[in-house]
Amino acid sequence: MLHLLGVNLPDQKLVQYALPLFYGIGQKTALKVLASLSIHKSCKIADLSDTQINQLSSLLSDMTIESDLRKEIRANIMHHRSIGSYVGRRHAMGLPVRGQNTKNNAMTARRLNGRWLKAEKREYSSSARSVIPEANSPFDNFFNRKWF
Amino acid sequence: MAHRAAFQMTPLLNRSSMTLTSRVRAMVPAQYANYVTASAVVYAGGKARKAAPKVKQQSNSFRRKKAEDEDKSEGGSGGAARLNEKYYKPPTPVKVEEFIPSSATKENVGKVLGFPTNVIPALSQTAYPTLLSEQFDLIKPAALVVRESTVNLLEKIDASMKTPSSQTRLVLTGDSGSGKSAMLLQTVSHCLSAGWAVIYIPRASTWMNSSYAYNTVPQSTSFVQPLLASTLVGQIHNVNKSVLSKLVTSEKAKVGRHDVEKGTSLSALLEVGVKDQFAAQDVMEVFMKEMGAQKEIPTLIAVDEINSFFRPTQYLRQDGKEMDPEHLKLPKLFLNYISGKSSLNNGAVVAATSDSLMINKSEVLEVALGTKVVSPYKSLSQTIMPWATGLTAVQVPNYTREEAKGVFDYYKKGNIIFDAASEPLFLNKFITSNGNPRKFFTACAKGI
Repeated sequence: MLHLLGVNLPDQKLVQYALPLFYGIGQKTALKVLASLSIHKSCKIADLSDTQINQLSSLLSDMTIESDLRKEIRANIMHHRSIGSYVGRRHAMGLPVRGQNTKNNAMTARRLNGRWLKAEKREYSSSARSVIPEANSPFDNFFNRKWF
Repeated sequence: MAHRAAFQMTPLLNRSSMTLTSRVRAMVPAQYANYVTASAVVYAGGKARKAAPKVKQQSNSFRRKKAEDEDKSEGGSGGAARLNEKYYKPPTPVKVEEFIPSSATKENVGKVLGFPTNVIPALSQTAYPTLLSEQFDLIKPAALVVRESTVNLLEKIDASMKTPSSQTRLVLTGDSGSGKSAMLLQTVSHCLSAGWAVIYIPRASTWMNSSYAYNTVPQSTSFVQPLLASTLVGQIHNVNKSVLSKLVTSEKAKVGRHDVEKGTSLSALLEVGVKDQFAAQDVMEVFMKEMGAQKEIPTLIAVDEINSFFRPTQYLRQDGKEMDPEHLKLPKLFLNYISGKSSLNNGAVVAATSDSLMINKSEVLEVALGTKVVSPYKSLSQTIMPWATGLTAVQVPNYTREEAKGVFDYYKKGNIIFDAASEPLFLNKFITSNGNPRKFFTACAKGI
């Protein structure tokens, strides 16, 4: 079991199919990594030499994967929310973002959208950096109320 | 480092006193002994943890599984792999004469002759072609029928004994299952009996399908496959032991980190490549140069699945694209001899195409040999095309009536024919299979 950058890679797995276990690496990037390090496709994790493991870890640490990638994605969605755009509002409401119909068939969006914002809320709930705009300010409360 | 020492020096105790893991470690081949693998590093960490004192286990009513149980269960699972004697008859050994060089004549066409006893250990160094080995498992001993095309081919080979290899570069072509690999095996056996030095590669596709490790060669676009080169050097050494002990190197050479003096025997040279896989590529190149320069012993280069040499390999270059065989040093070495760029003073190159895997098909080779005609607008790889010039195609036909009868009698003696053997049955099988050797075999042995 090779422990690399926070992920456990099982020894008997082919390197080609073990690399996608990293968040942010899929089939194509795995092959690109193999090609740049001259690792043959039927190489198992147990067959990697020390130098190859070092090269692999340095190559992977240069890429945005795992927590770096998750931060980036979260930051992108937070940006939409903070500027008050349509995209941000849809993420917050957990509805389709890209103009899909919601009369029927919005199940994936309802299930998955908004999880980045919830994670953000959980993470920064206790920090002073929380800049999630709430519609609770006195100005909003005055103008959003139905007076007549 | 203590853990590294334990890794290599496992004493040879009897089976029951060694744990499964220590037996596995003891079976690691010599080439890997110097490798520090990921699992060894992690194992060292695990060992450090194990050195800490264990908590005393409470006694349980269940008997805990110990190392001895592991051994017993292993033996049981091995036994189940043997064929059930109730349903499988053991093969009846058939008496066949030996296939010696003098028996390759027109009178012997249709006779099934076995491999000579001095050739069989050499042939077992490399595996038999995959589908042929199924036949050889069913009937013992391994034997092949002498065909008219075999006799013609062997006449050409005998004639090429004194000529350079660039003049005799043959490629056996034909339908799927028509006997190309079998004919190549007969050529190899013939040359081994006749005292040639033989380099036999039964499955060239394994060289190109990314199953062996490869390393970049600094300051060049080539790649080297150390383990593959070392395995090949070992095979050549074991197959041609008697022949190579007579030959010596003609000049000083540097192979990897070792220096080879002038006058060392070629067997000793090959042993350097077997022990150090990173010197094996240089050993191969020096060896081929020496074999090409000397004139006493002719050399046969026999390659099966030659089509994998003429299409992109499954190895990836640094930029992610598939690379051609010419960028791998060992295939390039053989491509030089196959294309005639390099030549052995005395010898021949015989190759056989294979239809076994679609992924290995090479249109370039088929067009170059003239067995296939494509549209002039079809773009064929211009980097691979030049390697396929000057090859002579030898068409391998299906069985003639006479050859098929000889084979049928052999199957009858070996007791593998599914239905009751008779003349009408032979006619039936021969006609329905159209004389195709593989289909004839499956028709007789499996009743399909």
